[in-house]
Amino acid sequence: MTSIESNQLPYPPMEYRILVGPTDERYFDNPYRVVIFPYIANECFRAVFDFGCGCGRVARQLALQKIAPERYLGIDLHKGMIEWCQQNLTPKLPHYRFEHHNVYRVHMNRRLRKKITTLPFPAKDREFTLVNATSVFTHLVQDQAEFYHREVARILAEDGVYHGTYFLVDRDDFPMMLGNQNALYLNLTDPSFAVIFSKNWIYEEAHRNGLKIIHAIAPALRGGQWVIVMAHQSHPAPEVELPESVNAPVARYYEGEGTPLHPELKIIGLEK
Amino acid sequence: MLDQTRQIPIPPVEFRQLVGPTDPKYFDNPTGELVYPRIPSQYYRKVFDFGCGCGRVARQMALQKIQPEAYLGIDLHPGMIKWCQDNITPYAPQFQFMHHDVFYIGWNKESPNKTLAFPAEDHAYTLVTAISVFTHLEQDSAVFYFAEVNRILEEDGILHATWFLFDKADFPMMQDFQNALYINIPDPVNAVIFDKTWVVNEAKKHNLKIITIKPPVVRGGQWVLTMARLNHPSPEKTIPAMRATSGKSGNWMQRLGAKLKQI
Repeated sequence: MTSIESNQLPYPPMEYRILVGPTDERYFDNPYRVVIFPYIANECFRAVFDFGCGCGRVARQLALQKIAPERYLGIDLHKGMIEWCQQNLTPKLPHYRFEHHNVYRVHMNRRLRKKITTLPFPAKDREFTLVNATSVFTHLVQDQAEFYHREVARILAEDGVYHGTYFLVDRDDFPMMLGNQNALYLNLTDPSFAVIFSKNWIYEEAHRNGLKIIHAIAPALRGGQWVIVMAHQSHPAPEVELPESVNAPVARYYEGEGTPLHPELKIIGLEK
Repeated sequence: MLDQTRQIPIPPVEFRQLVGPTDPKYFDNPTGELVYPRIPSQYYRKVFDFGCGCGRVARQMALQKIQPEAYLGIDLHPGMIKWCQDNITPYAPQFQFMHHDVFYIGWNKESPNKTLAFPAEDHAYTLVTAISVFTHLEQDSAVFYFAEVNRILEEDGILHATWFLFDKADFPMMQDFQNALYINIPDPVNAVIFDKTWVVNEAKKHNLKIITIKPPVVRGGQWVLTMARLNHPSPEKTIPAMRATSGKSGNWMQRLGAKLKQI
């Protein structure tokens, strides 16, 4: 694979960067050409499916890796971002494809005639060695998340890994959650604004879909996004427990009005 | 009077099931003690019971040695109110009940009203009680009813209410205006959990402060907060850290283990 230089790939326009999180160009760059998820084996980056690729932040970083993907497919519900990626990244990276995932979301894709909230991935069974979903399951309501976990398991290669981020809580703190209630919502107008799942449920979901959690990174700041890596049950890596996160520093302060956010929140993309 | 109130029947089990504990002992008061031991007797003079259900608290208060002079219970369940009117008021005429015609998908789905003013005059009540009510109100409704409590409470009256609370420090994704967590989108008031700091600040906006706190027995359960006017002689109490409360604990992974094997 011919390596490409950063200056050959344009940065997405600011209005798109604001919608996906950190806007600084360095979050779209990869100057040392490292693998962007260092805890994932190099060979898993062979065929990448990027669920919620936005305006190509991860795509751009992957393309700049020393060991770049042979094949990449990014999907997102924001049509404008997908068109930008098709017009600005694919011409330089012909093995990178981007497809509009035409599902409803109140703020980004509301003009659907019918409120379709889930669609199968445009991918064959066991097609991808790495499925990435950064800040996606943090914005899916429970039944959507369950649908897409099935899809992840379907398209994941036997030796592949799934890398996703989640907001998680301990269900013991919320005993009013009954039966199949496993998510907390904080915005009734747009429930997908942020969705927080129970830790138990994430394990159960993995098992229901023939997967297991093989790596987990607690958020740097309390209440931030967890990084969860899953693989098929047959994968040689052992299942792991979620580490404690209670002692992580608090991101929010109550000093006076306005409750300013901790500046480091920008790094982990919580502002999305 | 007490002999008469002892004849108040226990509500039918189908109503009891809807409000929580079904055992008749939770509707009884055999010793005639005050139903909230932490609240002095003078506050029971005029009681407003927001979300009175099928009269659990009303029945217990009617059996107190020191009975309220006036009691008004409101609830959005028309059947329960009718039952209370037919079965409690005849034995305790100072106990009145009114249907509060606001929408709830389960029990009052025809109503066009999300909130309604309390059927009470300003500063008319010495005690407003709201058991398992603010645990089922959306944030904007809770603000509305805080204002109503402030309006109908006597200058030296108190509010006794239960809440699900969380610490927003654990949820940095929440914006300043988002202070409630919901567990059920089709039925958002299934359970509503409020940020503890928001409750304190919202109370202050409505001239109230927390004077007693009873943490939940089980972690994540209902907190009992008693509030009084800002000028009340009792000192303001601070809600302790959420994780300081007792309850279910231990390694959740161990408990989960057996369940995972079944999947």
